[in-house]
Amino acid sequence: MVSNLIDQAHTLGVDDESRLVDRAVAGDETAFRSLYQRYYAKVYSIAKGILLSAEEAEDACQEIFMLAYKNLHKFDRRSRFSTWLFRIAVNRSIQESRKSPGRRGIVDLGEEAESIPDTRHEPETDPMVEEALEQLQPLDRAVLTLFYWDDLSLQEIGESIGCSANAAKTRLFRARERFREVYEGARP
Amino acid sequence: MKIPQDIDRLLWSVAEQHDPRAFDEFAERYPAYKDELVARTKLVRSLRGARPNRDVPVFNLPQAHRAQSRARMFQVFALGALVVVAAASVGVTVFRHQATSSRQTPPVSSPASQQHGSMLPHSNQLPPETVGPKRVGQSAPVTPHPVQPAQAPDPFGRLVTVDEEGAALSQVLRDIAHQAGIHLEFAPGMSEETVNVRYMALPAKLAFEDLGQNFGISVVVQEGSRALVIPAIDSSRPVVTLPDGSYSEPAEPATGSSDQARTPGLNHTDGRH
Repeated sequence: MVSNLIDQAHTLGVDDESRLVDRAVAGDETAFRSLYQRYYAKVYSIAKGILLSAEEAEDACQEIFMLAYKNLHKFDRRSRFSTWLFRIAVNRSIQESRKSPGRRGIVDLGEEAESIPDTRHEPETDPMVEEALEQLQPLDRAVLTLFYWDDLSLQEIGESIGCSANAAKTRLFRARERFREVYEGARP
Repeated sequence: MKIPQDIDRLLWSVAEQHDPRAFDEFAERYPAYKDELVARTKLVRSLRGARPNRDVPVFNLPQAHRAQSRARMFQVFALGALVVVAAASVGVTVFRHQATSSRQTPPVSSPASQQHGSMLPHSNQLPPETVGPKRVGQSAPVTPHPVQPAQAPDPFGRLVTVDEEGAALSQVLRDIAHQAGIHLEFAPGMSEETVNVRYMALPAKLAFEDLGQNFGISVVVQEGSRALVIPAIDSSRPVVTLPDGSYSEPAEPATGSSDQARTPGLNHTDGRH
């Protein structure tokens, strides 16, 4: 009975999402803003997990949603809107991370002094996690982010990174091992 | 330490569950891997704990995209309006066509004798869309005839509609006369030919002429609304002769009716027939 209710709620959620997408495609900005509100946190997690910079992640998020808005008419509904959006987020963030791979390491003092990180919204996290993530490939970071931060299933991860659920499982296993290696190696 | 694959999978599974009971059960069952489980649980907790938590900032659509979106909405609206206008236009056209069709009647005349074979000619005095009479077995195309607003005061100008098949010629003539308000008399010797006739909204005079041309009869108007039908025709005179001695416009001689009996001089108004 409980599972029925959960299924029902899930179905309602999907229907609701589908309706919002329909309205957004028809040019309803309010509907798109609702989708933005609903998925911003997850998209931000993906961008932050891959880019590792809050500022860059925030900029990337704006670009990702803008891309989604502009290309909404290309959304073919073979997958859920969220999966389609996460795929844009992963691709865009990986692209962005490749553009400036050494940027984080080459910050001059002036720039560093001016760009005091805004930590008002960010809770304190284990700095070693970020360091360990930095050592990984962007795609590995993407997989870990999607699994541990966005709580996506292997199927959804596969769709988001463009592979099968089995391939996603293998990628997750490897990424986790690499992360552990780096993370535990860095621990005092 | 080499960990078997199934234990390895179980370790990750328990580490990711956050379930103290599962943790205790695993530790009790596989005490050798308890440290490994603790390490993995810490790792998973650290990784999950690093999840960013950001307030959702306002999403600003650039002006250009907003304008693009408005343009797209306008295009959709314009297309919709165009479709509505087109549908309305088609609807009005169809309605008007139907209304016109319901007012119009197809004026086709096709009287014919029972002798199958030769086709009788058109009458020039019939409206252009009216087809001349035909014998039985021949079909005539049906074409609409414009409606005339009011009936003419002259009974011979009144519109008549006759649609009869296999009717006697005299009966057809009577029907036309009845509709036009004409009192018709028949001279002896009238042919009892059976004809097929379709006249739609045709002036009675033209109907008489058409029949006269094709079946060798003359209609002599005597006075007012009285007329006499004579079973003969004078090729030099019109079929319908008015009481003042004038004639209605003669119909085109029937090229295919040379075999029909015609008696000259029988359609005078002096009654000497």
